[in-house]
Amino acid sequence: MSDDLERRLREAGHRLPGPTDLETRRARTRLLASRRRPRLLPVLAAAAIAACAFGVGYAVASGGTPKTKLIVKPMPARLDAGPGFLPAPDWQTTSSGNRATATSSTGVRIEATFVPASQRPGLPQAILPFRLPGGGNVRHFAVHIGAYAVDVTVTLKGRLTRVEEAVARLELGRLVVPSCPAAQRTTADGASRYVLGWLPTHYAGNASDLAGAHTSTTLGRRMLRYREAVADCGVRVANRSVEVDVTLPRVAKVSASLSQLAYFVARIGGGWTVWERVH
Amino acid sequence: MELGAIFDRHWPRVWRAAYAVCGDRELASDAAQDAFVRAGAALHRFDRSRPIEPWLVRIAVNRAIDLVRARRREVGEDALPEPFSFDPPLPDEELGEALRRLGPDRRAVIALHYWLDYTTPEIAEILGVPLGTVNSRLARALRDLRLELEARNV
Repeated sequence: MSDDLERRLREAGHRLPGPTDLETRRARTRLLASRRRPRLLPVLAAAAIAACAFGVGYAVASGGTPKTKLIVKPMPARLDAGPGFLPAPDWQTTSSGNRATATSSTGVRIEATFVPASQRPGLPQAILPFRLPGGGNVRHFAVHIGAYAVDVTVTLKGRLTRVEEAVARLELGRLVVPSCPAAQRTTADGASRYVLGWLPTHYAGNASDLAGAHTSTTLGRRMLRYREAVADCGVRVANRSVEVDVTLPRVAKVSASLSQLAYFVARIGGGWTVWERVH
Repeated sequence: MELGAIFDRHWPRVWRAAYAVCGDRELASDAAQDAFVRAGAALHRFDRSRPIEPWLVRIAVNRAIDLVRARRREVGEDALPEPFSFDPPLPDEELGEALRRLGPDRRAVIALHYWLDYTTPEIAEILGVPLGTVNSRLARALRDLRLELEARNV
């Protein structure tokens, strides 16, 4: 058995895939870009560059040519953008990347995590608003909704009362998860601009991380994560979506993985919408 | 050697090492990129008389293990199986499933030994653990795989 196992392991190793050309090109480009940092510039000059970098990066990403007068206005969070909890009195809500929490003054805590639906296949489909399942002080469920697999844990502290349950049920109803969009045919033009305007109000880290952010966009079948988009929201939405890959040069100094963000966006009736935070 | 040349020479193998641990193309790319970025930042301190690949693989594998654990924490469910699968799946599905049930630490030892042909002392250096730990992880990983496969009557 042992020999057979070792033979099977070695055979499996022979079939281990390698990086694709695209993955290699992207990694190489990012690696070399991360090395092209000025080393001897005075601190003041670096600060001035950092102040300008966001606007220039934005201009390059959206139009290809830097523009001289450019003002980036952060856009208010759209209520249907999510995922996260809508604000409500007596509740403290947080949203960091793919995790959202709501904590009441009485100690009820709701925690929700969101991953692309394709990463957790087989969960039941759900519709909003979520319903509080029965049980004890800790209630848990995991479902698919929109492009996401949503994992929710509700913790009811102290003595379980109907009032506390009702409070938790109401708050659970304020958990918003974006649905698959009614995507319109589009080009990638404007997607970068939208995401760069959207990021300041939705990025989970420090706002200063966004300085110098630059993007690349791909449309429909050319998206690097096209298969994931298809799995999460279907071929039609995937074909009409734009993958916006954002690189945060300041974060890249610390972590290559954290410096790369990826979003699926689509054009809908009222403009653009981010329908999934992919990475 | 320039960083670009180091990348060209070692990227495929470093990427495969990360992929063997996490079983996810995206995480593997992240982990391997991290390895090169960190290596680039510390290249001037590296002893050029030593081989560079184990150093890169060490960073990538440890980063891949961290990313697998972080993803598991993101899902927030200890009872869930490891979010590990090969893409594309291994032709030997039973083995793939058995590997999925190993923790990332043991999977790393299996991958480095059987797939990337490192010796156990080299693995100890790569993972930064004593040789005895590598041997016991390897033995336990093989035992667990064997039990899993036997349970499936394969």
